[in-house]
Amino acid sequence: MTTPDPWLAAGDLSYDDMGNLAFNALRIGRLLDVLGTLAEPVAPLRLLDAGCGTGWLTRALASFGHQVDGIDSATATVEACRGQSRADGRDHYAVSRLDTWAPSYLYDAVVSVDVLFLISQDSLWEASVVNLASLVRSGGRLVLADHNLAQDHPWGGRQVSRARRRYVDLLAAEGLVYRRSVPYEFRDSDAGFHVFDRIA
Amino acid sequence: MLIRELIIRHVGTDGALHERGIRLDQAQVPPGLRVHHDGDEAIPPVSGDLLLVAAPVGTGLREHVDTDLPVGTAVVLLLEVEVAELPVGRVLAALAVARLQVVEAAVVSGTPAATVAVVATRTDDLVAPQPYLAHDLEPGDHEGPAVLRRVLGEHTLEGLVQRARERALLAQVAEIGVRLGQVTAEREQFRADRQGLEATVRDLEVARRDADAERKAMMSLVEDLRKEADGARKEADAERKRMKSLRGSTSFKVASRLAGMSGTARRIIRRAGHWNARR
Repeated sequence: MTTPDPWLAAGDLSYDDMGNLAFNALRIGRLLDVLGTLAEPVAPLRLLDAGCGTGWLTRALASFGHQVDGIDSATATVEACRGQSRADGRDHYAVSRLDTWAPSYLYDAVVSVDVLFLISQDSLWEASVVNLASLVRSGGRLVLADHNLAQDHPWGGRQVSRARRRYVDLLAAEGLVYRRSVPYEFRDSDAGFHVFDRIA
Repeated sequence: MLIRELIIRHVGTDGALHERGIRLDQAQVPPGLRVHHDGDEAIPPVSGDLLLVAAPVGTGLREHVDTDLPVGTAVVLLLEVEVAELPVGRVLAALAVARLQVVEAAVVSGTPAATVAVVATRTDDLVAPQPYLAHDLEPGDHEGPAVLRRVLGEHTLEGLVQRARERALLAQVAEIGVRLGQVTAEREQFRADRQGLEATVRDLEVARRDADAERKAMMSLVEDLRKEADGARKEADAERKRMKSLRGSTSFKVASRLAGMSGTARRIIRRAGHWNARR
């Protein structure tokens, strides 16, 4: 394919371009189910796409009328995102790690897709999850993508999916309650979204 | 959000809809819902009912909010105002007097004018905030005072930060205003410069036109002179031909010889008489 498509810039290495196009479109649909469809452009929800990468999800969420921050630790990636940012100012990008992002406002929802299982160092993973949770306002939602597993599972030497229980226990201490896991249900993928709400 | 959606979210299971100051189109009323219009005074709201109230945002707002509603009734205030200009204090005061607690606020879609819906419930207790993202998918829950502590904490800190952020944004706006002024002045200067250049171009255009006219006149003159010269040349050629023809004629030759002979005779005569009157 010669025309770059914003949704093709990310996904799963085991799928081809068109596979990832379908995969990402489906994931956006699943995410809208989780985040709700009540976007109001004149009073938008404030969302965080933590580990935005190429910004495909940030831009997609912004296109539904939300105000979305995308953060990533890679400067070049963030610069590329800024180069593709929307004219209406609904997507905003910053260079930051997941465990250090601390804006002066809270988010209605924080989303992290295809990032946490890339953090192999446990302490950094934990600090990242806790920090993202701290950014969610009362009644707001935290959506973390990972495999829905009973035990931690390493993928080669560089990726680790954590057991769902670890997320639940870690976030309960932060005032967030586990709601459900939403599987992608795409081909053979057994990953999906863990959904948490802030109740305290 | 459509008014219809708000009704569905907040009316009780067996509740009725009471319209105040508004008459919904039938399509906006969820099917099967009992509706009581303005003037149906004989049917007071009961717990589970929903009052849909179109109210002004002016000082008369309080008069539109019933103060004797039974616990468990919900009120959806429809306020015709831009959401950024919602008079927060006035709305909260009107609801507080009626012991109504805000449970949701939304921008209404599908209305001709900008409208904000403020949803409140009549309660004597605290109603904990519900999850508001896709919250019809799961029931809300909370951990008693903990959620209140969190909300109060957010209220305090966000209140402080929002003031600062607003101040920072206003400073940015002011800075942009100054920059805009500078750019406007530069643009005006460019415009004046351009007008000056345009005037110069116009002058040059006039000068060019004058020069063109002069050049054309000169060309015309040159053309006339050329024609005149051609005429004279033709005349001279004709004369030359005539002369050539004349010189070639026998008469001319004879006359010429005679004239030559006459000269010789005169010279002979002059020498003979030493006549030298003219030299």
